[in-house]
Amino acid sequence: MKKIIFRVDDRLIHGQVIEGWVKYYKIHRIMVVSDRIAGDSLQRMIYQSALPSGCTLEIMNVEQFISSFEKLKAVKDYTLVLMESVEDLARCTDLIDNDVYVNIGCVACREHKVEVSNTVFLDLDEIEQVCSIRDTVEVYIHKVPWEPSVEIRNFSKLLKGGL
Amino acid sequence: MKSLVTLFKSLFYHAGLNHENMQGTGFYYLLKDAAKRNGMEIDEKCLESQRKYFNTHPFLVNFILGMWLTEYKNGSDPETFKKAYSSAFGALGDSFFWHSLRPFSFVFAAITGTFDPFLGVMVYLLTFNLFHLTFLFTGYSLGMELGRDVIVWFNRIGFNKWPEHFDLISVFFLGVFLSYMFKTGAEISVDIFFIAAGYLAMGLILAKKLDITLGLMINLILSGIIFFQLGV
Repeated sequence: MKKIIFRVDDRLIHGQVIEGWVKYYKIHRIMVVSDRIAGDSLQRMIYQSALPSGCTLEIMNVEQFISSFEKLKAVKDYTLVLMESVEDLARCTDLIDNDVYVNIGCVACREHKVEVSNTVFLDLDEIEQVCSIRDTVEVYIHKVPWEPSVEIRNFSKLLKGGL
Repeated sequence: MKSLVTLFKSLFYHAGLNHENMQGTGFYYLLKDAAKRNGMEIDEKCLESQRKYFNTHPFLVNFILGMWLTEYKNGSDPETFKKAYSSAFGALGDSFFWHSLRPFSFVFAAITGTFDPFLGVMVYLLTFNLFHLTFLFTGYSLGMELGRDVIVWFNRIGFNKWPEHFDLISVFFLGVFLSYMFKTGAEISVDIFFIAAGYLAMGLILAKKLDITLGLMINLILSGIIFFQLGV
C-alpha cells in the first residue's frame, strides 16, 4: 500500500475508517481536509474525541492542505487524508501522482445521483471530476482494506448516454 | 419515563436500515415520536428532511436525538452537529461495542460457561446488554441536557480509551482462563509451561507487528502440536 492515502468519505472519521484503515495499516496520522470543519472549533473537538489514543489528527481547509502537501510527502509513515467530497478531491488533482492511493469510500445517496456502488452515489459533475483524476492515477472504490477494491473504469459511455 | 420509552423505541430504530439512506428512516421515526412526547412542533419540511442519509452507531443514537431536539428548541442549526456526531459516534461505538465489548463479554461467558453452559449464555447477554441498554437509556436525557456539548461528557469519561482498557482486561482474563484449562486438562511440567507462554508471546508479537490473523493461526497450529504431544 502506498504511504499517502486520499480517501473520499462524506462521513470523514467513522467506524470503517478507525477500525478498518487506521488499525489495519497502523496509521498514526490522519488529516481531515474540509473547509466546513476547519473553521468550527466544536466540530474539530468532536472529531478529535473519536480517535483512539496514539493517533494524531490535523484538520485544515483545502487551500492549507495544498500549500502544506510538500512537507507531507517527505514523511515516511502512513498518512490518511480524508476528504468530504469528490469536489474537494478534484481541487487537489495537481497533488496526485503515483505515490498517492486514491479511493472513494462512501458518498451518500442524494437526489439525481447515480449508484456507482452500494456506498458510492455520484452525480454527473462528480463523475466527470473522477474521470479527469483517472487520467493521472487509478481511482478505486474501497470500503475497508480487507475487502477487494474496485477500480473505477471510464464512465464515458455512461456520460454520453446522458445518464 | 421519557428515557425509558425512548430506550424501548430505539431498540427498533435499526430495523429501517438500507443502503440508500442507511438509518435515516429510523432517525425520522425516533425524532417524530420524541418531539410529540415533548410537545414540540417541528417544521414539516425539516422533519421530512430527516429521512435523508444518516448513519451512526445504533447504541449511541439517543445522544444525537436528545442533542438535536435541544438545538432545535434553542433555534440553532442541529444539522451540522448531527452530521459531526453521527460520524464520531460511529467510530467510538464500533470500536467499543463491536470490537472490545463483544470479546470482553465472550471471555467472561467462556469462563462461567465451563461450569454451567446456561450460566455462560446469561453472563454474555447480561454483560453486553448492561452497557448497551445503559447507553441507550442515559443517551436521550444527556443529549437533551447538554445539547451540542454532549461530546464533553464523552471526553469526561474518556470513552475513546475504553476499548483499550477493556481489551487489556479481556486479554488478562483470557490468559487466566487458558491457564486454568491447561492446568485442569493436562499434566503440565515447567518446561511445557514456558513453551506455552513463549508461543503465546510470539503470537502476540506477530499479531501486533504483522497481522492478527497470522498470529492467531500460528498459535492455533502450535496449540494443536502441544496438545497432541500431551495426548490431550
